[in-house]
Amino acid sequence: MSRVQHAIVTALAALALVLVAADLTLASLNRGLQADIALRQQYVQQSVQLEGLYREIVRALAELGARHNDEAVRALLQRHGITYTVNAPAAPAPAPAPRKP
Amino acid sequence: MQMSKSVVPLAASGHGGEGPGEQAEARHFGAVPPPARAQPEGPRQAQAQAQRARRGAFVPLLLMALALLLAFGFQAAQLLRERQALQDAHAGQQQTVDNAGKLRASLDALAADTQRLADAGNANAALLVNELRKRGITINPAAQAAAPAPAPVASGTP
Repeated sequence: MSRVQHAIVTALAALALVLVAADLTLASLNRGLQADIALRQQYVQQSVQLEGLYREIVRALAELGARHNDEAVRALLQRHGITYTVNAPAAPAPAPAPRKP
Repeated sequence: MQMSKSVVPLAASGHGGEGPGEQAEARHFGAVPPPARAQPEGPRQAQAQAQRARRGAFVPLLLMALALLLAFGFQAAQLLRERQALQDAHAGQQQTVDNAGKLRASLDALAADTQRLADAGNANAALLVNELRKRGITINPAAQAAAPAPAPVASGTP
């Protein structure tokens, strides 16, 4: 093998070694990124479950505050940007007018 | 006396690497009679074959190096594409994760305020806190104060 041939083969082998190192690094980085994405997905899924709990707490506080006219509870909800209005009880239906014979 | 100047053709040479010593050796071999000439060509052929073998190692090595380069280059390209897709997915999650964090922070703050109101003696807040406790959800306002956003205040199964 001449010197030129030796240099060519050596350069190609060195390039292959660099590519192997790059592959290993990329694989490691991708694994870390994949784990991070899975963790964030789990965080979002748990938050979806907590959203139901949040709605239940808000509804329960609003119902209790409205039923007992609790100003402290109303103020608590207002501090969190939640307001509610109490509908006036429906007026009784007027009695039907007596028919004239 | 007349010497023969015939030069033995280098049948198995195929290369131009002979020096003057080898040419002199060829002339020397050409001077000997034909039956005796076959014997000294044995080492020459072996040497030529050895040289051919040494030179022939370049092609397999080159092919192997090229194959490795192709394989690792293809793998690197695939890993780069995969990394790009993962980065896109990570960026696409950001808005959802932010919203989830805000929701958790709101829930933590509301639950902590409700617990404080119950501790202050509000009957409605105490009723709600007791109902949550019956479901296995306990509120810890101190944890909410220590770690504002990410720490979950409400624990247990809703």
